[in-house]
Amino acid sequence: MSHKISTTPSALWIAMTASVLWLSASSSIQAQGDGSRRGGPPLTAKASAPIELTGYWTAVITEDWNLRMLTAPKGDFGTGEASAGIKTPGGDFRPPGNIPYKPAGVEAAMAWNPEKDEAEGNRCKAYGAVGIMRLPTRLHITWQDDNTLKMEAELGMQTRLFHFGPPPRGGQMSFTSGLYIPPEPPKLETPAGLEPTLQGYSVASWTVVGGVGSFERGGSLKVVTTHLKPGYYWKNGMPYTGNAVLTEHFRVMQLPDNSVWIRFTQMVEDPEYLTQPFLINYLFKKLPNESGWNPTPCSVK
Amino acid sequence: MKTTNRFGITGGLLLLSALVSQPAFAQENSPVDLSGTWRWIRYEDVRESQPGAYPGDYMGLPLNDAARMRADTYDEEWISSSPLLQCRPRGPGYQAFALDPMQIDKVEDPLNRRLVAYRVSYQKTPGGRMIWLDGRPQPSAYAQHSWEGFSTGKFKGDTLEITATHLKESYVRRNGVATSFRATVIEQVSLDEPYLDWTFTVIDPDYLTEPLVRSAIYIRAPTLQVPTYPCQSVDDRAPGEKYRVPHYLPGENPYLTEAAFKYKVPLEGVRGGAETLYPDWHSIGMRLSPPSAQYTLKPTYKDESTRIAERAEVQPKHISTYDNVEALHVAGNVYLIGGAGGNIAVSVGGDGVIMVDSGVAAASGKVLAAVHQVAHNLKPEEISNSASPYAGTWQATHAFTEPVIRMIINTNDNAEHVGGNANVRKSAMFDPLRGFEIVAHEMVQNRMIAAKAPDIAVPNNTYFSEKYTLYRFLNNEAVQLFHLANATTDGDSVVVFRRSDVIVAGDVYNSDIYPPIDVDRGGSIDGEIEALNKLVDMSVNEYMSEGGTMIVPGHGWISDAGDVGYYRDMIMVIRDRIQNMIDRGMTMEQVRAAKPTMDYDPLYGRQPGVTNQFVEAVYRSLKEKTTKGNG
Repeated sequence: MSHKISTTPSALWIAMTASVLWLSASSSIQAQGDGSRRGGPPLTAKASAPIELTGYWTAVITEDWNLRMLTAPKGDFGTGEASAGIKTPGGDFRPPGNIPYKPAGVEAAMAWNPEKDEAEGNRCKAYGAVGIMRLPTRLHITWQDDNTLKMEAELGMQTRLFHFGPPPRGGQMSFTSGLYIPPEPPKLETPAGLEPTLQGYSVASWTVVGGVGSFERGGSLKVVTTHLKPGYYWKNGMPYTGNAVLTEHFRVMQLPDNSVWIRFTQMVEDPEYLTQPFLINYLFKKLPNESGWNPTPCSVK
Repeated sequence: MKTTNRFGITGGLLLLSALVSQPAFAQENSPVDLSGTWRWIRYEDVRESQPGAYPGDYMGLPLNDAARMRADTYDEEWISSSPLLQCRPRGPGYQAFALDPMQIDKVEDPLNRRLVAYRVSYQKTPGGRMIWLDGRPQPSAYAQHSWEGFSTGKFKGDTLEITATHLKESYVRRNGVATSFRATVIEQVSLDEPYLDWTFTVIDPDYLTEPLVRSAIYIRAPTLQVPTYPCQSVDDRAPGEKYRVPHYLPGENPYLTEAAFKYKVPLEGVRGGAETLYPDWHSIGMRLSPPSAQYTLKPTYKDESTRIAERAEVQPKHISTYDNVEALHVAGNVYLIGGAGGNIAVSVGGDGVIMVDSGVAAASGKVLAAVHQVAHNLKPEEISNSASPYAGTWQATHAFTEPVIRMIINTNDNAEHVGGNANVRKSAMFDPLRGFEIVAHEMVQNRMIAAKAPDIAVPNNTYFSEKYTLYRFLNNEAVQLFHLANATTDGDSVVVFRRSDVIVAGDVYNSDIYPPIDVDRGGSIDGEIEALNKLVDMSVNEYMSEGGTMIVPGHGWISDAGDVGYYRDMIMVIRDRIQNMIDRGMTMEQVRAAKPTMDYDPLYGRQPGVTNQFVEAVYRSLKEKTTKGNG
């Protein structure tokens, strides 16, 4: 007795086709950039955005309230009491309050002179890229062009620009070696000859995750800002230097009441004044429209 | 058959099998790997973490007035003086602020390696907090609450979103700002190596006017070991010294202006509220001045949260159709049947079913169906592992057949607990132990006879002593009744299933309404407090103020001694407030108008009539005691 398995010539073809389809469906779920498109020009940053950041947003201040909503007294590092820090019996320096300052940072903070700032035309030192995100302000985020995201703050009437570079190659699985090839890091290059400014120069890139299988597509925006002018974390003159590097990760979340929020982490590396990176995170809630938008000039107090 | 086709099929199958074994398949479990050990980084509100926020510091919190009053009257000695709460862990609405190392482990299905959950452990938590990723449903509304709650998670992009429900009452700031057991916590966890961003939002319909969103950061710490936390509670009362709850009477806390004075910010900001979180408040705050000295604040409370009991009073009485009668396991042999008026507990086993209370009459059909379902689905009991001469003999002598109900025990004579007595007795499932058809304290019998209840509904086996132990083990365990004199009535019993370690509390303890103390039927506030003390003394927590002895409340969800401790303390605080008002010569109407329960009404006063009845009962029983004392 003979068994007829198949007489169609397409068995191998079917198997190969199925394999290719499966392979494409199960390709890496994590990619960085995700801006490339097979057989065409790369997608723009605007077109490849995994999260929607445009619109009007308001700061919601639930942490460090006394420091962010109002101007704390000089020398208040977050504890409510002026303090220059403690030298331990072992000779170590323990900074006062919330900021991991070295003695040089504390010394500079204690020298804050708002009248001097006013007289020298430095009213906006607390409104730089680092400080503005901590203030009780609304934000308006729009696309200036296909590869530049613009963030305006009503308080101090400041504008930050996030410049997207060419999309990096995403992570992928090599099915010949069975190894995962991690995504290429984004190219965070700044143009030569930039002068420092309050808002510095910000390079941006998307991280795109999901969108395959059972995982929702999402991701985050990474922004690295350099070329900053010296400024203040808080309005009571807590300083950072012009060498500070600001790295931010922006994400979006939705709560059960349908409110939409930006949640972002801010890391400042400033070796001259800080013992270690200074990390915090902030929250902005989406507004339905521009109602309440109230541009206000900088003030030193 | 052609050779090429054979090769083709074989080759194709080999290729497919090679492909399905690619690691990409496993990656679908989780877009990012959160497992590892983590150390906190905290650069905001450092005083709140160490040594703790000042009393009265509500900056940045969208509180309502009920929450403010609760926190204004909080005395930090309370936690240290309560053995039930000394080892209270943090809930997810605060944990990320704690200076606590954290370990996250993957929990995988051993058969298919699929990621089922993340287990998150901190130093000061009872064990691993499970975050279920397998899509399991929420537990029943009658399921026990815990400090860490029941958590499910789902990846959205690169972010794990966690929803935690079934939380015990907890706090959002360590100066008495409470969160309700109705709160939900939503968390978003995102990884930017080596940092973990943890945003957590408390949604509390009882104490917050809008979601409270805050965040924390951890850094990967691969060599860190999360230490153990052998917290041993201590009762430092002298022999004979009564338990007391340290608290401030409304308007008497001298420390409420301390934060405003020390931070040099206006008191209006320090008192919190949703409006103070938004940019428009900046210009208001800049025009206000901080207090020039500390003083005793006399707050007034007037927002919507202060009128919860009033609104409940005018609600039309909800007529339930008892469509959602459900049964769930408590411990050992014991199950809870909820949704039938008052809670019903059933012990189910080889001896049949022992019902504690019978719910309302209108729900009897569904109650009997639930009893049948629980009993029918039971597995045979294990042979008892005991040196007792009777060990293991009962299973042999009692066949496991169609479920039969052997007796009803009544914890009191309230209609929501005895209403179904007659229907259960008349049902085909009722096959009683002769002479033990309905068991209760004799005052329950007396009051039901006086109320002209039909004979079939009235207890026929009563006791009058402090303790009553049923004549033999039932379902392989002792069943004991304890009379709690003059608690909600003069006939309250709690029923203890000793091997299962379950106490059925009746209306002496309700997890979400005030106790229905009825002074005319012999109830009193002091008796109620004594009863709750007894309940606490009879119970043992498994670890860190939760678990262990399970307590079935008269209404609400399965509880433990920690829950009863909170409830007892709440009642003691209200007792003290009303006593103070009586001492100041206030009338019943004046006491009612002063709203001495206002800060607890969002939790316990949402049903029509309960708050007024409770306040009146406390006033009357204290007033009678004062009058007798003076006489």
